[in-house]
Amino acid sequence: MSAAVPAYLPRVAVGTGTAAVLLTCLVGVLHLPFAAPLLRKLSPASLCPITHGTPAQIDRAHAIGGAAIRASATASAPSRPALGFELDKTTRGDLDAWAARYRVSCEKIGGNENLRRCTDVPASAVGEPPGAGLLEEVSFELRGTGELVNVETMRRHLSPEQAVRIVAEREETIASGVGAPSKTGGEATVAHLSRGFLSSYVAEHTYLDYRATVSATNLGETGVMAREQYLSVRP
Amino acid sequence: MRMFKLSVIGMTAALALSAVGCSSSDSGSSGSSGTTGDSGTLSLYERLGGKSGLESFVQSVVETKILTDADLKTFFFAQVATPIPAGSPSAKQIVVCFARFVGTALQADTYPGAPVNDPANTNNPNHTCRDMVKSHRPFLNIGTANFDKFIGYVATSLMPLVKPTATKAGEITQAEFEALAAALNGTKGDIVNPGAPASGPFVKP
Repeated sequence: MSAAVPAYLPRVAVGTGTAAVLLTCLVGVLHLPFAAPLLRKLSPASLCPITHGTPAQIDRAHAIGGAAIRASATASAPSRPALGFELDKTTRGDLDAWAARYRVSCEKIGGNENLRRCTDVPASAVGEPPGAGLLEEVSFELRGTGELVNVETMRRHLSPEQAVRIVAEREETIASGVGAPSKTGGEATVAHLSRGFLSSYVAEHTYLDYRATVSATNLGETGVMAREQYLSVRP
Repeated sequence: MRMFKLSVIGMTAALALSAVGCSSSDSGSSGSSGTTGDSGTLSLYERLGGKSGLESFVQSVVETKILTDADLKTFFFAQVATPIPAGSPSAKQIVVCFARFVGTALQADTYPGAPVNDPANTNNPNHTCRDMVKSHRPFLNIGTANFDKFIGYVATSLMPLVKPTATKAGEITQAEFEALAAALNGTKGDIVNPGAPASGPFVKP
């Protein structure tokens, strides 16, 4: 005795298969160059399988970078300042509390829970003098296990005078905690940063477990960009 | 389109210049004359460290700058996936292609050249280096902030190498720096996608 196949089942199967094929074709066409603008509007970053890395991928990228940085270091850092955060200790919950305390707006980068970017952050929120103004961005990276491993900032549209004041102050603060930079380039002077497009100053403090970088770059019409990065490079 | 191609060449050459900082010897010039600079007997290509120096540089920038940047690392998720998705080159293949590209711009190498072999990239073990414009423009949805971050890394990688008189590997002149900066100036409009978010992440269009 065999069960009869419902009459509607073949039609459903054919319909489902046809829909799947058409959908696949549509997605394929949307990935062609001419359809790029449309796909950008339709596809949130958080849904893209490439943008949206797994925590393991984020950790893997960090591990590769950390290993390359440690290769040029010879000693551990005497301290690891990071704008008031604690590398390898601060948690996602701590960052949420910090953002709430300073009424800072933050978002996941590409839908990645472990990459966060906060915008228009008051200087006081990262322990800088209130007169330093807003930071355009403060970004964070957490390990898959939830601890903070990277803090970075960006300011643009600065005058050379503002940039010099900011990088000099930040560099002095870092040096007081970890010592002189292991590598520098350019000069933190108004004359040097005014020299022309891409005139830059950079100071890197590289250790076996930490790297702090302060930089300023003349971007022409966009003014001068000042950046800081505080990175844990512990294995 | 031509301007964009020139800008890509200029930017890549700027990146490549920093290779000298990663190459401790001047023996890797692969026997090519490259481009003779205004700074003594070594050509620019030789001061870049030749093929091995360029590859070391690209690898260093990707690893110590890009992969540690919270935004820019999202452009390289495919390279840290296991396995690497079909159609994507491995980091090793990208490094070799970039080095070839710069070497070709300096008339010391051939691009795209032979397929780049990387057995570890199981889905694409023999990658043919792609046209820089065609392979990137529609797919790297670059916003203004990401562009600025990237050229910031270029500039701050170059700056420590600038010497009053650059005569050996690991050194460039201020004039060379300014020439590269000039090549980069004005390219933002060609590279940045006006519809892209200012900052990351990489959004596949």
